[in-house]
Amino acid sequence: MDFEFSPKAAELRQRLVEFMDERIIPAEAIYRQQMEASGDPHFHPPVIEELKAEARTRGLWNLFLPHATEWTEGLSNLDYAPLAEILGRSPLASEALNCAAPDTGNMEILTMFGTPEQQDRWLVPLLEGEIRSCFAMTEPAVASSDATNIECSIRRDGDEYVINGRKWWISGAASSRCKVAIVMGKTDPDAPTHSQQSMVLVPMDAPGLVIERALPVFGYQDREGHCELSFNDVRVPVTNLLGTEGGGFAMAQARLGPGRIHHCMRTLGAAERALELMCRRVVEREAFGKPLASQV
Amino acid sequence: MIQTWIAEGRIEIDQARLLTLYAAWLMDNVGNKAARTEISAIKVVAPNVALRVIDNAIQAHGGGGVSDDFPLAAMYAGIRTLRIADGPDEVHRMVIARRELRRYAESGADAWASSGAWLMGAGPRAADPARRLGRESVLRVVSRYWPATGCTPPAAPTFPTHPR
Ligand SMILES: Cc1cc2nc3c(=O)[nH]c(=O)nc-3n(C[C@H](O)[C@H](O)[C@H](O)COP(=O)(O)OP(=O)(O)OC[C@H]3O[C@@H](n4cnc5c(N)ncnc54)[C@H](O)[C@@H]3O)c2cc1C
Ligand SMILES: Cc1cc2nc3c(=O)[nH]c(=O)nc-3n(C[C@H](O)[C@H](O)[C@H](O)COP(=O)(O)OP(=O)(O)OC[C@H]3O[C@@H](n4cnc5c(N)ncnc54)[C@H](O)[C@@H]3O)c2cc1C
Repeated sequence: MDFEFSPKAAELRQRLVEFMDERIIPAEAIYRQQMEASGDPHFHPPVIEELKAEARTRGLWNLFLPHATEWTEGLSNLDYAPLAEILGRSPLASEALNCAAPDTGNMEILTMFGTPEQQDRWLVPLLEGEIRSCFAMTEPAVASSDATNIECSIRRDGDEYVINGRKWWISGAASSRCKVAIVMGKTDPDAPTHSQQSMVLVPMDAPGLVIERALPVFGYQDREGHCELSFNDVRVPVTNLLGTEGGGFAMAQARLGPGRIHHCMRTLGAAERALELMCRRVVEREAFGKPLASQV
Repeated sequence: MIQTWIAEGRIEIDQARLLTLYAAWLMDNVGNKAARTEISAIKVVAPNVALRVIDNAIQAHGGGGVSDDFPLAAMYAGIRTLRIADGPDEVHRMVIARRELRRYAESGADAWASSGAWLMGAGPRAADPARRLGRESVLRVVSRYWPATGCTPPAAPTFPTHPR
């Protein structure tokens, strides 16, 4: 195996590093001012749209899809990994390149399992960065790390599915730009364990879908919001089914593979930034007559 | 102490990065399924490494580290959630351990493991396509460096085949 940057990855990496230095890192202070001035933790600051437009003109857009699709060239996991690490250095970067979770996983699922109608309605605006989305699996009532526990009901009634249940920690749902949820639930509680679940596309403005609250993380209210949602007799046409009935579990597995590489590399990017901050600080600050860097 | 934090940070980040690139390579070349162990492994490793580095960086910053004058406190909060979100650490460890143990549930595996052949990936793990590739790359490395030892490389390296 060879971890040398491919020519394509090396070229993109160079472009991304320049974009980070020239635009993203300087935008962090502006971002903070705009967020504070708005008084709304879920505000969509204009600086993000400026960064998105700039990223696009620099050819740094939708790089996350591992396979070539009708809309994107595709970039292998190994080529994308070093880019994800660089993105992890700033909380603004992934969104600026339209490479932010949970949209990335949702777009991936839509390229793989979406019907042409579903792709036109949801995937294309997501790829264009016009809307955002969320993925609703976890439930407050059950240990959701075991996905077979998920019990939200998706019952067929004629040409519609009727959805009833409660979800929480649904990242992205607090944004007014979030227009669709991929909801995981049970269409057939009597089927074999791994075939009970399905995924349906639910517009965020569907009657009966209520955003109950946005949960804080250690007291921080994240901009995208991690929400508790209740579904009270929410109706969607059967054409909103993603893939096949009973295929939810398998699709959930498929959704997570490349996403884990992205998350881990971004996390290491954040770790690199922390290490860098530590090094800078300890060489310039002194205690007991010498730099902190020379203390035992 | 501070130098230890810096050194440990560098070591652990680089280890975690190599493991993640290996998982990415397996996914590209063998498939997501073959990379399950590695995908679970990086999901445990990366957030834990990052949290240790960030915690040390906070400590080195003194009072500033826990404030929002630096991004460290917010980073810590955000990354701490990754030990839970998308599968808690314990579940990923369970996946890895089960896959590892599965190989030993088959009879005959113990004798094979202690025979020394596992060194070249010919043991029970060889059934896994990812491991086979691992063995081939060992082979490539062996044949690349063999001349330097002054020995004559075997014409076609042979490996014992699995008894079953
Ligand atoms: C910031 C954040 C964002 C999130 N975003 C989303 C999202 O967008 N969409 C979504 O659907 N969900 C999301 N989640 C939810 C997340 O995926 C779940 O919290 C996670 O899967 C764990 O489920 P749970 O909280 O029900 O914990 P539980 O399943 O109740 O588990 C609790 C604890 O039990 C232990 N445990 C569980 N199983 C085992 C085992 N087999 N062996 C040993 N110990 C075990 C672990 O320590 C675990 O942490 C998010 C969570 C957070 C914190
Ligand atoms: C919640 C909170 C409440 C506080 N309340 C008060 C208050 O009421 N009044 C007040 O005056 N102050 C207060 N402080 C400040 C606190 O006392 C200082 O933050 C502390 O003394 C460390 O100083 P510093 O932040 O300047 O860190 P620095 O002196 O810059 O030290 C940074 C780091 O360098 C390392 N270091 C320093 N010296 C050595 C050494 N000899 N060997 C090895 N490593 C070393 C340590 O890891 C240390 O954490 C408070 C701080 C906090 C977080």
